[in-house]
Amino acid sequence: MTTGAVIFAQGLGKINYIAIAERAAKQIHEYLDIPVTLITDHPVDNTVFDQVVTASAELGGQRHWPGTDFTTNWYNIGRSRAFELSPYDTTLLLDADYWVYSDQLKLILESKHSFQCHSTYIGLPLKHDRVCYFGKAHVPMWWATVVKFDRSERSQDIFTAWQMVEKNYHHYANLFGFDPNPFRNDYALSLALLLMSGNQQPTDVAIPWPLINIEPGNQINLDQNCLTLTFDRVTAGELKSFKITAADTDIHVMDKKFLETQIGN
Amino acid sequence: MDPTEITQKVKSRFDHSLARQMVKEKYQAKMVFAHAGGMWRAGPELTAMIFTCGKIGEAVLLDLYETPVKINTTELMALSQQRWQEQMNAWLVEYEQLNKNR
Repeated sequence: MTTGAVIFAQGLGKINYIAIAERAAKQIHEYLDIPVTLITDHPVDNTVFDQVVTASAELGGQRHWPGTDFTTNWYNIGRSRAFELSPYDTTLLLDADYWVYSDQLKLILESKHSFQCHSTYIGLPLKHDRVCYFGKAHVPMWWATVVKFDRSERSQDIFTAWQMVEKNYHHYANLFGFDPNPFRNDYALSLALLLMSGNQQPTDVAIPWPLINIEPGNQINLDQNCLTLTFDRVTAGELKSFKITAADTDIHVMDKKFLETQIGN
Repeated sequence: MDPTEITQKVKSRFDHSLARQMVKEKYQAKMVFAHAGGMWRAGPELTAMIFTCGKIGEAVLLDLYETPVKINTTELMALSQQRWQEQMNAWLVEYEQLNKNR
């Protein structure tokens, strides 16, 4: 039985996702001690990844990332092929901007549940909504940022449903009342899980702790495995600067500008 | 780093409330463990659930995913208490460290 992580980095636009994925792979090696496969449509020449799988990219639309002064093409369609492209029996599918700083995900890899992902999140520093909803139907969103799956029929069925939603994305956008542009894997996965659970929220796939998102627009410092986040908040009618630290915590860094400054560190 | 950034960093207050919440989230996650094919969260709730079985030996309990799992009460109790104590000790150390921040 093989276990490993898979990261997608396709269709490079103004953000160098391959370089960001290299940093993510180093973290995965250090804290989870599992091999990492990169799925890309670009030639890669480095020794960080254990395997590189070539797969074509498809444009999911244009996206402006807060914290940047540009809009970039977002090649995010095709993540639903992870089941067929992964070389492992048990796979941890991670976003390139999800950086591991603990061994917490080992628990997910060791669990007998065939498919798992996050249903709850905390957006640092200020969002504590826990659950994100999308569309006029207020469908609870499941995050495609961290997905664990195995070779079971159930995992395969979820990925098949994910591909079906992806192919008919505009139809589902009309049906559930959300903007089809840009394409969002989180939405496609959420709808796939909804379909696979008989139009109900699944009860057996949630990772039992929240995803920690670092929202853009704040000052981030990473020193070894300790994050320091400096941010502004209105207190008693006055804008004041605050900071927090978090050590040994896995983070989903949504500030692409910051990610690029960390490349090579 | 430019001077205004340094000034801002020095002036920044440590947000104890948010930092404590983050530490709580971290240790709540660390309380989760796998046993007998089920997922469990160590703590008073699980301890109480094991006690309600009222017997030593095999029992069937609902895990975090509300799946019935056959367990050995002694083994699950030992694992739960060990993890609970380890993580609570680590939580205390980090909590006290946070309180020193200004």
